[in-house]
Amino acid sequence: MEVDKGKGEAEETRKVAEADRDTVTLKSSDGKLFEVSKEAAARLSTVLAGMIAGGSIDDNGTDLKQIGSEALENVVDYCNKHANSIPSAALISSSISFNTAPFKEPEEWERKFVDRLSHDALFDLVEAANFLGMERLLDVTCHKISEMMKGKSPDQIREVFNIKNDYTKEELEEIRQELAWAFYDD
Amino acid sequence: MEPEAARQRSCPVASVLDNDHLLEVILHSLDSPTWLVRAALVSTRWLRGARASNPDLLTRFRERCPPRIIALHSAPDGHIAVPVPPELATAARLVCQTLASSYYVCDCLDGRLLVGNDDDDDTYDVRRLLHSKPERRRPSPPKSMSVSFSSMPGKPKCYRERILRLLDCEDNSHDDTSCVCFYLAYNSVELCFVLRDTISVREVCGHLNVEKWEPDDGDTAPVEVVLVGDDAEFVIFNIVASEIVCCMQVRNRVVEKISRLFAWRPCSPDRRPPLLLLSLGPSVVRSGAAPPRAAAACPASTMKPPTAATRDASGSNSGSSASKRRLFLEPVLPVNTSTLPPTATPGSRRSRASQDLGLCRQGPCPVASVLGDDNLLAEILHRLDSPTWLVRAALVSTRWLSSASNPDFLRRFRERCPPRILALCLAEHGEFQVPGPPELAAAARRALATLARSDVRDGLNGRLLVEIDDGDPVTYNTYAIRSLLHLARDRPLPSPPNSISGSLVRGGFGRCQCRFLRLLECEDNGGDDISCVCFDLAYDSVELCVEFSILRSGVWGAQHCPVTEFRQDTMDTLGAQMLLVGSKFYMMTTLGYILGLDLTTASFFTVQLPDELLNNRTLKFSRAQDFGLYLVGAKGFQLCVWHSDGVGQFVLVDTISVREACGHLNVRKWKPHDGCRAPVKVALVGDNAEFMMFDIVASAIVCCMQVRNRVVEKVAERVLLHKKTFRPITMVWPPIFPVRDKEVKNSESSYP
Repeated sequence: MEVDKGKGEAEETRKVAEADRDTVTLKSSDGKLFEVSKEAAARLSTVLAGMIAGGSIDDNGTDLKQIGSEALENVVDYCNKHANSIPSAALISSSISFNTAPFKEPEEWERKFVDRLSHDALFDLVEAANFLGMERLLDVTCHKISEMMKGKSPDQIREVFNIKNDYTKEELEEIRQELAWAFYDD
Repeated sequence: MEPEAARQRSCPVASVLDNDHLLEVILHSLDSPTWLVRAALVSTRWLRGARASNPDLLTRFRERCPPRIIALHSAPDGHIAVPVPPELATAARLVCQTLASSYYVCDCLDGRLLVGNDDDDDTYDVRRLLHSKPERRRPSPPKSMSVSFSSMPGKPKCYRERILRLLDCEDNSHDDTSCVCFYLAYNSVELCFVLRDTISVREVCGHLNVEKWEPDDGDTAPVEVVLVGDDAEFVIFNIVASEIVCCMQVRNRVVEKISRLFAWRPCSPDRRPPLLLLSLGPSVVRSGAAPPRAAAACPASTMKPPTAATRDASGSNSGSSASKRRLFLEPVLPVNTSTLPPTATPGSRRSRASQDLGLCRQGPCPVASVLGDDNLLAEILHRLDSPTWLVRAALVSTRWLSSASNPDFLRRFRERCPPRILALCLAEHGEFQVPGPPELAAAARRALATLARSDVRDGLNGRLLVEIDDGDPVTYNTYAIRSLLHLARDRPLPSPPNSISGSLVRGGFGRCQCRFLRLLECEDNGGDDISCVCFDLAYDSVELCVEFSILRSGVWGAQHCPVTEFRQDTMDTLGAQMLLVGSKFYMMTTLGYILGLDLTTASFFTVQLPDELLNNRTLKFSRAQDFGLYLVGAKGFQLCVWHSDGVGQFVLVDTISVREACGHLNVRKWKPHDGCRAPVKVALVGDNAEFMMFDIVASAIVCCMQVRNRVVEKVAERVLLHKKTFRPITMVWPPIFPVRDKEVKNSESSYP
């Protein structure tokens, strides 16, 4: 664990951390420190929960080399917002059915949270959520990306996400004919 | 960090407007035909975007912004202008001018106007609503045609029974002055209506300060519907007590006061229509430009700038446009962003592109690394929530295809998004579409087209067993297998063997016989998809004989005739639900059990019904994925779902409150008058109990519920479902993705 002790910011954060044991300090790949409620971190992230339980949390900033500061800021932001949000009544009452895996639509604030992110920030956040085992955040961000695909043609999706078309013309034509109902221009 | 896309483009405005889809979205949100026409004149490309190259846009535009009423025409009094938004004021003025010089208006259709003549009763003009300059064109109008009444069939004496109406000229086989002359003949036509919407007048008219709602004498209806626009896009109604006539845009429930009810009364004895309505729709755009057919015929790609994105490009030009785009993007394409998971070797294979751009990023491009991770890609595709979007995404690249066609993935996708019901086939009323999401509309249309000229006998995941009914005596009583979403040719079945069981049933008194065919699941992949079973039931009050023969590889197998003692009313047997699940045939009885027949051993068995359902007559069962059964019954306002492996006891797995789930439907009445009938009846249960249809008896409403999320939609009025024989046509699942030859070789290298 590398700790940049010379940094004023770090010491300041550590003081706060010592004063209030309810938080954990996380360090991004570029050395910035963020603080998040221990309870929220443990509840939302399986990886952080494991680290907290296993005692591998560093008071000077747990190093998360995989996550850039922007993404980590969003992660922390999400954790804080999640702690403050009251789940809407509609979501609680919608009972889970017998024949399906339970899943919840993103709530209003979660939609707003991902809507304001830039293209790159959104995908960075997906990676961070994946790395930290944050199921709900992964759910919300993936949902947002799928929203970006819905209603688009393959061409548009390729364009939006910059993907190389490696189908042959014949293959495309075959699939389009087989599944013509998925295209409105039939 | 700026989005990847923005970094590559110098001018965001140009790049947005060069994208046909975005342009379309922008045009779509223009909200008035006036603005649309103006935008279409910006450039030829915009005209193509706005016009017939995608009638889709016009359809959607119309959905968002349905034609407005511009004026009312009332027989003796001429026209009444109706308040319109300022951008339509010019159009309204033109319309009023046209109307002012008309003696009377017989009909109006999409901007064409059929008008009678002042001095000669037997001549009519067809005018264009927004084009005519009456003073100049009247003598020899190029856009109108005079029709002499004397040349029409019939006797001039039938004067009062004559009605002229404009003809829709959608298919171009008629010119735009085509019209029809009717001589009234009385006839009753049977129509099926499906309840689609319920609107509270008091609610939508809240802002109008209506002084009085209830008429003095309590008998008159408080609201009168005066007129309904095409596609029910608007409704004009009269609030009787206050004599206010309102017009409502059905789409968004916006109500405007039109006028007080004064001169005009419905049903004037005069032959002229008492009230006529003139509306303005996107057809204006079409009429201003070249005919849509010609535009559709000319290849869209020839005039397209090479950088423009092709929306839903057809296979023939998608290759070329894709390669152009690839060339165009080459310099900034992130090379070697790799399919490695994000945790592996960050930075070591940093993209050349991001180095060139001086980006201070540690890892590879986040978009590529997220979409390059198979697990994350599957998570994202999993949330597409509609087979339509999944199929489109599968066409993005071969890697996405292999993700989307993974059986495990498809199973999870189905859990989240079970196949929807597309249509219902009713025995004597034909089929009708069930309301569904717009992205399945194309599939539903296809399904309906497939169902034409046939009686559907069975349906199993996109395979239909139909009895041909095309009026040709040669095909009478023949069966065929049809594929639901493909308009390919039928695969005819060899005619089933003759029944031999007639003599096997002992009783002989009151004996009934019936024959039906059922599709056989071809779960083992080896079975061909025209496999089916022919059943001949012979039964009386003593015994039941089920004779069956299985069609495999195009040949009907040997007939088996197991007999069982089966004491129940023959009428009950006639109406019982029967279902073939795997190799087991199930039949509902009123004896407290479901009678099963194992086709492999030709032996009967029974599945006991749960005790609490013994006297319940509205039970329905359906297939379960594991070859078991789901059983759904109503207890009061509770729907109970049981599951069985198909042999053993039923176990209660779910209970649903109908009142709670239907809370949003404004059901007027829940309990039936007589108090003894069940308030809720199960009409139909989908495979895996993924959806169920039930009937709220007291209000005669039939609803369809997605069991997964308890979302309930109103489907129809019960009248439709009185007949016992109706079957659902559901979406095919999974989508059949073609197997690619190179799949194995290419799976690693498809991401750039």
